[in-house]
Amino acid sequence: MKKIRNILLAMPIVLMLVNIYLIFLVAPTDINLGHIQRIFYLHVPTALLSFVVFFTVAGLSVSYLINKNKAVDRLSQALAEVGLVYVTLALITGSIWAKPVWGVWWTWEPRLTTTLILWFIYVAYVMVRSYTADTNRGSKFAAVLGIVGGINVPIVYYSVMLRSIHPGPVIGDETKLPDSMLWVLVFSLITFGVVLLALVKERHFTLYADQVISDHKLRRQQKSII
Amino acid sequence: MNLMSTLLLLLKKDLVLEWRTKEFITASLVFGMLIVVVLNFGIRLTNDQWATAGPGILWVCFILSGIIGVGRAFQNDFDNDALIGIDLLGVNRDIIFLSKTFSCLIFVFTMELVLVIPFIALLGFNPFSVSLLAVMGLFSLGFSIVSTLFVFVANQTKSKDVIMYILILPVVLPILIASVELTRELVSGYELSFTNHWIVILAGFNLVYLVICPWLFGIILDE
Repeated sequence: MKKIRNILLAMPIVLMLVNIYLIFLVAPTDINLGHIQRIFYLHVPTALLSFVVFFTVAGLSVSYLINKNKAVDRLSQALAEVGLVYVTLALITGSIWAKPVWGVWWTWEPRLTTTLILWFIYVAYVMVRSYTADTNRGSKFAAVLGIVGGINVPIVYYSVMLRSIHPGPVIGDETKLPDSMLWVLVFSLITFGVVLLALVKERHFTLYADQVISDHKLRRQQKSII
Repeated sequence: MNLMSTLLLLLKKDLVLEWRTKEFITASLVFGMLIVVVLNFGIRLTNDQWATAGPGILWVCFILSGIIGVGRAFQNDFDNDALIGIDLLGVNRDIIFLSKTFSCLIFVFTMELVLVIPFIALLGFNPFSVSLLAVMGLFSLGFSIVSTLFVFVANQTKSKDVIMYILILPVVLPILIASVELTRELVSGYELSFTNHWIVILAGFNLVYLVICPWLFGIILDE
């Protein structure tokens, strides 16, 4: 069992090393943007996965409020916490990319704004849990936020998109990626996906251990009272 | 007692309580007025610049004052466990939610109407029109639905005042954008039409949250 766990932990590390090698040494340098374009292989997977995680958390939140399954709640919490790390990485790498390419660290473009709002909702999700003294209550409140956030993100995207149509052209001209870049991007996406799963698995395990310990303490207190 | 009369009774309770304590109006209006005073010293805009920046400043003032007011308005329900008392009477939870939402709607709408006056009198920015009343009404409804749910959540956390802002602001962002853009169009002399996409966003937002929030409120009231 421990051996399998070690293999599962080693896999993302190996994949990430290969990924870094592919990004910096194999992927061709962009003719227009130069080396700065390489951050794209980190930015796109983290941004994409943070949105996938977010909608998964929204789905799991609905399931938790209906079935009150503790395992689902733990999974939601683990996903949201790792999702927060991913969306933070996406925002930072996006800004680093934007400065030399667009000339600004930040612009209120629909995708960027929606990602920032997503970050705020993730932060609120984690804060609501940790600021509520009762664990069950915190889980329910977080689930409520997960659902509301899941509904809200597409509405935010749509309204910011409408707003940005008025002042000028939308930044981010979509051009087709050559195959030599595309497969590195796909590999990076898979790598970040595997890393995400490994982190979620580890976090889920610590949350489970935490619950077992607190249940055990509660039982001991009950016994001492009796 | 049917659902409608229960709703009206609960709404009357909130209105009478506000009439006696004046907690919402006092808290939100004093805060809103202070924002106007601070703005006067913080920014210096020409008449043309007010037409562009004014709507945004107006709605930011409304939203911040609204959150302050909503936090105060629900305090009595939590301090005296009145909400739990009403729930134990067996009142339909959707009705409890709707009564709180509608009372909040009345308070927020009134606050917005009053806060327009210092904008006209002190800052020389006059956005008022009959169409703006419709925008205010739609915004107030959406804001009230979301804040009723999240004030209840925030009140049961350790840092209520901080959490309230963190929960409400990102969620009401679409209706804030829509209201600012509509006010900008109205100030520029455009006519309001029901097919305007900002009106669609405001109405759609209200409809979606009016369906989802009572269900979520019913679930968290268990706690």
